[in-house]
Amino acid sequence: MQGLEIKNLYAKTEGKEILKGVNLAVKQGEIHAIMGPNGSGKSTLSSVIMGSPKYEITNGEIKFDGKKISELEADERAKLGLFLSFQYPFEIQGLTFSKFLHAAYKNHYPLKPLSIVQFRMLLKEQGKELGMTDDFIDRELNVGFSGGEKKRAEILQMKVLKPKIAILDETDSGLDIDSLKLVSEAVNRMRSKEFGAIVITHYKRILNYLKPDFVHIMNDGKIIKSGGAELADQLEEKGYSEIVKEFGGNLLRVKE
Amino acid sequence: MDRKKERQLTEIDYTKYDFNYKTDDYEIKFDKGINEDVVRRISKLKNEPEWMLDIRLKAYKAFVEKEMPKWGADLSEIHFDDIIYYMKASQDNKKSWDDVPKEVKDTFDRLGIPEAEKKMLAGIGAQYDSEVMYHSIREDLEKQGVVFLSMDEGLKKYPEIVKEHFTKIVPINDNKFASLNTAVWSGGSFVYIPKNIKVDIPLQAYFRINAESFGQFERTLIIADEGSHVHYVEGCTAPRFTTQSLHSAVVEVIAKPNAHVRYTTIQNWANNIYNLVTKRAFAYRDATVEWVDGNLGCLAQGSTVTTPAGIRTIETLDVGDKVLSFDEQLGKLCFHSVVAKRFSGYQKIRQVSVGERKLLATDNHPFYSYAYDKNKPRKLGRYKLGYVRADQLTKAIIPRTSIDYGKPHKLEAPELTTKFSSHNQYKHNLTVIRKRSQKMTQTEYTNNEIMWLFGYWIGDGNIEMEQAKTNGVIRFAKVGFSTPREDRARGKLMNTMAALIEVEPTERRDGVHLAWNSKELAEFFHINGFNGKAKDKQVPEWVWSLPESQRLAFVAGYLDADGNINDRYFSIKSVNRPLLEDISSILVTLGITSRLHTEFSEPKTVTIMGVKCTAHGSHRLDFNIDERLPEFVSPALQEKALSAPEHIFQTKRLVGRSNIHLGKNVEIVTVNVSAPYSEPVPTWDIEVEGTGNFVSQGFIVHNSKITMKYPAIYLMEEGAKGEVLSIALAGKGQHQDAGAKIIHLASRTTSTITSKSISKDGGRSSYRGLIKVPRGAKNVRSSVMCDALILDEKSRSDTYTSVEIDEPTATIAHEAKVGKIGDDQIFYLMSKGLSQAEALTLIVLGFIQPFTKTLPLEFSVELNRLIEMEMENSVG
Repeated sequence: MQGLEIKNLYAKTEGKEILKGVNLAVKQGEIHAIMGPNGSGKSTLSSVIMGSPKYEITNGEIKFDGKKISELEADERAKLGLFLSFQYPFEIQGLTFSKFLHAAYKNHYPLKPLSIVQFRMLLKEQGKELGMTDDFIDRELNVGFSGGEKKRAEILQMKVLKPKIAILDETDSGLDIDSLKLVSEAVNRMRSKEFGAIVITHYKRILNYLKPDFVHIMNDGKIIKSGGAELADQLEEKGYSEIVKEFGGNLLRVKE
Repeated sequence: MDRKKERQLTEIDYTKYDFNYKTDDYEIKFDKGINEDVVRRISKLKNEPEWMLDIRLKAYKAFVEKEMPKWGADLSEIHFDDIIYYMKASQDNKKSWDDVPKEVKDTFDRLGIPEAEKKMLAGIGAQYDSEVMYHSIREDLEKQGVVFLSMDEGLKKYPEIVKEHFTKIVPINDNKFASLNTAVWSGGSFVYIPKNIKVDIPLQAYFRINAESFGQFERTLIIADEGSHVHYVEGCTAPRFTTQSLHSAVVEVIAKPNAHVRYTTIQNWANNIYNLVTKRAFAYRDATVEWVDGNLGCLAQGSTVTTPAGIRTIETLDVGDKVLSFDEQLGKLCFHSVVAKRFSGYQKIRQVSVGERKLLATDNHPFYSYAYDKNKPRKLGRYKLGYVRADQLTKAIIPRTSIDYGKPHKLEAPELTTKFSSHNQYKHNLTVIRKRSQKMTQTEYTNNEIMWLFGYWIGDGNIEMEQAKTNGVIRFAKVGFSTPREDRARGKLMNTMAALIEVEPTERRDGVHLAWNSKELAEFFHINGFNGKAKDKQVPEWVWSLPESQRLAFVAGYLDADGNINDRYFSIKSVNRPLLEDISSILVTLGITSRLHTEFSEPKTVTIMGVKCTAHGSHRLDFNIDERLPEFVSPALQEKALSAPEHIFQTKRLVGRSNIHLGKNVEIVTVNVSAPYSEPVPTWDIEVEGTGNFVSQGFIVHNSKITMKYPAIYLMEEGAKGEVLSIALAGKGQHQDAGAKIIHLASRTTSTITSKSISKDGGRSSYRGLIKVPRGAKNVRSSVMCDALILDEKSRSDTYTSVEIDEPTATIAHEAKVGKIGDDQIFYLMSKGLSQAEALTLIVLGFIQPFTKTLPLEFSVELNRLIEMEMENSVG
């Protein structure tokens, strides 16, 4: 199968089981939203898909384009076409945004090299669509970025690296209305048969712009309900506790 | 996911600097050695004014008179006469690159120097051995009155300015090496920046040693007049020679009121260059001086030294640690502080040995010994105690005793309760704690008796323990000894055990084996490190750190179990060679030389006490019947030892046929010196306060090499500012040591010391900042910032700030930041498609970016490249 396929995935960290049997299939061309209360395992799921060493997969498997990727290092997964927009991007002192992304780009597209000058032009151009100023690309990676800038920087990376499947982990949190619109438009512009996304969010707001094909509700390490865009409306109406009660037993409130 | 792949280190490729050219057709090449004539000739060649010759001669006198810094004895004995003090490849200092001789040009081409110039430098100077070969400065700057010349030309063109400042910052007699430099200096830079001129791009100087056995003595004087700005960058390289070369520079910087001077050093000296540089700056009213220093890595491997706390390898020492040293005047062993430590590069080594005392040292490493000079009149004494380099060593004077260092070791007490968990019929968890009866006399710290017992156990003891079905419960345990009824030590064993425990021993029917049934006792032996079977018993590490008497008692116990007097020696037999090696190493700490023989190493059938069994090898350790040991052994062995003929206790202490009798703490032995090993190994040196020597693996050796002199800034007038920025990268086995000194001599002066260090693969970096504020310098502000990046759990970083303040109004801030690269950061970069190695490299390069951004482009490119090479493959 093309795209991302997750089967009965269990993962733990520090001896604690967080994912308890996740099943999910995301094809290129589709947008999936994953919603769920705090601590339900959404961010863990994105980290595990991307190959964070913090988590140990205890059962199940992750396939990408039909190939098992559970054993691959994060950079190898990235080069296959997976992308993660971090909820909290890390700061790297002294490393400029352009230098970082150029290095990443070279690894993604060794056969389509761009000189640093060409690459900087590309960055500036793409950055404009996200309302970013030119000086942005010479700033240190995420250092001193506002919350919104960090998120936009993640989206800019995605635009340049052109993944097959992107995971947007709470990209909407910390964005003001205007930025949210810019970001959503940028994602929408990428929409094509070649691009799929998993949008992790607490709120329906971003989904109004992104119009997901599927919505999944996650609780206690599992996807308890999947449906179309209308599921997000139901959730907005009733709140998590009711939905969870309806489909998946107890609401587990855990501090993230 | 397994991330703990083995990390390995790429070594920086110094071969890049390895090419050198023949010196046969050099225009001028002095013979080796130094004397007044050499000084005069250099001055004459340069056509100098009389006053400079006077300074040179004064300095030469100071150099001769000045006592060798303790750490330099090696140099004074061997090298000063073995160095060429002046050589010149061709005639003149060229203004045009095309005129520079081909060899010299090629050299600098390979170092990328013309390229550097293309990158629009303000000016550039290149020194090849003694003389500056090429010099140029941008025209517009020249027009503004900026002077950037070789020191020689500076002297010719601006004698008054040079005369006014030369040796004013670093006086003629500041230290022996500064004196030497002043006497024979050649080349270096003379920089003068006129009032209010701001040179916004750097002036660069390259120093290259091409010839072997050569001393480069460049002299740099930088005068920044009021309100001027300048950045001076020096880069140094040399090929890797098999003989030592000397680089002894003096740098004097004067920053007049409101001036701003930045001085950057990038050193790529291969490591067999002695680098003795005296760098000092005076900053006047509201002036700023910055030293920027980049040190790149070296590797290490260690010989052991003795500290009051036990045995350590040389590379793990820290400045301030005390090591065992020998006071030649008093003839006594003593502890002295390490004042500096240095990596001395990859060098070929030899093994110097006498019995099991073995030390690996470079050819030139000085050992305590004596020399015979047959040309001296007999009355003056032809024998002289002193240091002899390893490759010429036949006799060595070695310690035959030990200073009583060490402390009793706190013993682990056996658990007196047994705790085990289970559950009852209601599935409730249940923890049962059962108190044991206490039968042992509490022994909190080691003493002679208990150490004898442990020694005896190492030889003849065993532990048996049987686990019960319930977890954590021992059914029974006992400590046993093979000690036949007639054994000479049985009485001593019984007495010692009786004092330790109330339990009566049981004797096996054959009368050979005695056992004390006690879980408490067995646990006591076990948790204190005495466990295992005959073949794999080991001496716990803390034994090396015990007081002398306890180490003696331990060896005595072992002697009583497995030893005997054999001919003229104590002799211990065992199947366990590593154990005997441990014992021989403890003996070295006691000043006792031993010899280890292997009788056979293949299994064979032997008869022990009438029983046939297979022995897996037999090794024998022989050592002198030292007069300190009989006190601790069993009465029978003691009697045997004391009845040994008197001469056995005598050791050779008479120097040759002279009448020099050495004290009883040392003896003279004939040593074996192996041929040089073919592979160079990493070498280290430490500098020891006072005595200048230290005891390593039973030999008295002198500090051989020199430590880096930390740059100093003297803040002379109000408002002056001093800044030091330093960067170090410590990789596997390395210990980078850097530092700086700032002396606030006026009020309202400020200083900043920033150190950036990166440690990885178990590397360590240390930074030492010294801030001095004498009384009367009011409202001084100083801040020391140490930023360390640690790449893995094994590595570490330390900063030591030494502050000497006699002035209550001073404000000193110290900030130390230690960053660990989290897996999170690496994962973040990897998830975007960077490999782990790339991610680490980018993080490291980012970390030192504040340093690299101050450098001219090709220096930062070079620095980045070196760091990339260091980081590459550091992740498997």
